[in-house]
Amino acid sequence: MKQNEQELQFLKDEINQMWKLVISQVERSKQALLGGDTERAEEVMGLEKRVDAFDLKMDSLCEHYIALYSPVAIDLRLVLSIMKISLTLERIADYAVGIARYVADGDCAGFFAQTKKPLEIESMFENLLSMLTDSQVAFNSENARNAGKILAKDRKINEIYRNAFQVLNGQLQKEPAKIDCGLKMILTLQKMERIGDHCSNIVEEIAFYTEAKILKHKDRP
Amino acid sequence: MDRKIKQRIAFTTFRIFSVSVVLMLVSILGFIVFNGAKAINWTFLTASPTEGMTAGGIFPAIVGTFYLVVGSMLFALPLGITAAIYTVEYGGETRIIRIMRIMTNNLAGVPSVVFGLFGMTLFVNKMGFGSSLLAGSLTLALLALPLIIRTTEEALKAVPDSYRTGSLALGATKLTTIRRVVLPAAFPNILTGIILSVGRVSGETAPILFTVAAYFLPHLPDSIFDQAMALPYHLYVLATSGTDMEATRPMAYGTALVLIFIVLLMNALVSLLRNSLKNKNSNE
Amino acid sequence: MIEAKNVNFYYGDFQALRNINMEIGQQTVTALIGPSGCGKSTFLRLFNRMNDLIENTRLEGECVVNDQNIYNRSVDVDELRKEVGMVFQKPNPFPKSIFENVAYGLRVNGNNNKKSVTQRVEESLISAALWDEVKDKLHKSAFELSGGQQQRLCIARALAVSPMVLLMDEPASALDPVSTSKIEELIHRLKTDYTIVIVTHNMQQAARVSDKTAFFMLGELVEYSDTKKMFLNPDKEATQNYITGRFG
Repeated sequence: MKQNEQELQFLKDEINQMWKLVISQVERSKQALLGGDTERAEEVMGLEKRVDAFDLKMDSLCEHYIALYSPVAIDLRLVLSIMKISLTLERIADYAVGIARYVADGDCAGFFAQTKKPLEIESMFENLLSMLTDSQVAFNSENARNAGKILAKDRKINEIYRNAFQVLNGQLQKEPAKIDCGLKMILTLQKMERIGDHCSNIVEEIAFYTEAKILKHKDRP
Repeated sequence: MDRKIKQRIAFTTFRIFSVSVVLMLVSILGFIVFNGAKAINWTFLTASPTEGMTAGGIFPAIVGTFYLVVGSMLFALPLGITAAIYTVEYGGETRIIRIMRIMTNNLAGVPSVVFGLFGMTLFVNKMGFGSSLLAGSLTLALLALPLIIRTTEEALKAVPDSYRTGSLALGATKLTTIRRVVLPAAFPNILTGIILSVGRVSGETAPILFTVAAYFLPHLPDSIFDQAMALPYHLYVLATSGTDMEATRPMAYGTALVLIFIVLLMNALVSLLRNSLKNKNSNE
Repeated sequence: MIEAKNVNFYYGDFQALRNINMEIGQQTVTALIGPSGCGKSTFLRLFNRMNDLIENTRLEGECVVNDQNIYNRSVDVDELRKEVGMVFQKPNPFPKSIFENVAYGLRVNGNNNKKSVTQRVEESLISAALWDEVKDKLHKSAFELSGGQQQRLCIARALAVSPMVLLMDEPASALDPVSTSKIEELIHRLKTDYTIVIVTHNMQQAARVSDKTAFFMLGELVEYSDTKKMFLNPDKEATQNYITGRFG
């Protein structure tokens, strides 16, 4: 393998490591939220620094690669997409930490346990996690054919998110005293919805990398 | 260590040999200068030989050699240089050019006495010029021709092709390119070839033996159909068939010295010209 | 403006160009790239008929400059070369003064009016961004200039005869980075007045100076598109392998 390709492989290996870490962060915050597990939540918060360190590392690796190798064509698209993907992964991890923080507060455990079923929180998480893993597979196989399927999951998440308002509204009318927990819940849901959007961005980057297709800001079917 | 000693021995040997070559040349020159200088005086340079060539000077021989050099160059230069331009610039690598080149090389290897015989047959007898400056100049020109062609060819080949392509790419014709770029750039080296052939021509005896040289001629030639004396032949005569060998010995050395001096002087003049041309060429 | 139509070119039995069809627009910079021996220089030299100087070559097809097939019998090659100037890989000034180098093209074309020659020399040196550096030593030898200056002198020399097209055969490959960037700057500025075709081995240079890029391989025109597109997203796998350094 040429030096140039070795360097690119190293970049790919690093972003995969980061990807794995971020998926595990989302997984942990899911466990924390669904199980009311404050210890898990603390774990997520503790690992935040590692994600941030990855983000910085990816930035400097990409900068150096561009400076030294002046990549063009597919190499250029790969490096640009890795830069954006690492930034996006870092944001996703931030949201996971945000969710964990509400769990760690511990004051709304009862409310969360009560509402997680009707709010379809588990299903939301499943969709998020599969978006993350599927996009990682797509990235590694340099193949954006599944982009449509992955993006469909984001639409599913948005649908659940929209329905959540009604469900929460009903619940809060029964227990008006839990208004603060309701607000926390809506913020949690919003963070999950944002994670879904970011996953879509990653898919767009992969399409740019593999096919130089611009999916961004286009009306999707 | 061993290798260093070997090296030292080898290079010392080289040095001894090369120094000995120079020493030989210097001693020959020194010998001639030492013996010839006594004979040189104003009369020797400006008077005709007298008293059966045991006294007087060598003026007619100096003038004769000068005429022969100029005469032969008058024929050889235009012919040789144009031939070289043709073979290098126009000819390409065709069969005819290759044959021409082989012939030129062979011509350069022909002994000069053969040129003399040829000149006698063609110019003196067939063309009826008689034994004359014209016949001698033409014969010497034939002798110088291969040398001039070869050196001019080399001079032209030494001009970088990038000059030619550069000029052609500006819309210059081939002829203009040769005239304005190639020849000026090649000229200093062509001059070197001219120096060499002038040296050769002025020193040759055999070609002029049958075509122009007079044993003794108290006056200067009046026309190109006159016979003339020449330094190398005069030297030969003085050294081998004088009326009084002992008496003419110093004069022979004097003649040799003058001949060498003339050749060296021409070389010096032409290299001076060559250097000033080289500067002018890139600095006009 | 410049066009190759079904061009095949042979050196003896060797086919150096294979059915090339390409149109080059006016006042653009077009870069020709490709591995050594791919035919890009041969293609460039078709347009001022420099290939004519090589023996035993043969052309099929048409090369059109200004709506005229320049290989027609009626075309005067010397006139053509005034229209289509050329700059070579190695700077090749003549062993003459700076002034005489630039004036050469004018003189061989019969312009001996001192005033107009002087004016044109100055204009050309200004266009080639060399005037300020040489205006005080116009009568010094061209060999006293640095390599980069010599190359700009050669560009000035080509500009002096007012060509419409400028062919450049790796004009900066023998130069240091500073001189190279000066030549590239110059190409950018000359684009407004001239149509420039440049052969280069330097991928980044092609990317920097050209509007369109043509990729040649084994005598074929593999891809010809906007430079921006080619360096972000080439259509052909071969192009991608070459420009990313994965060739062979």
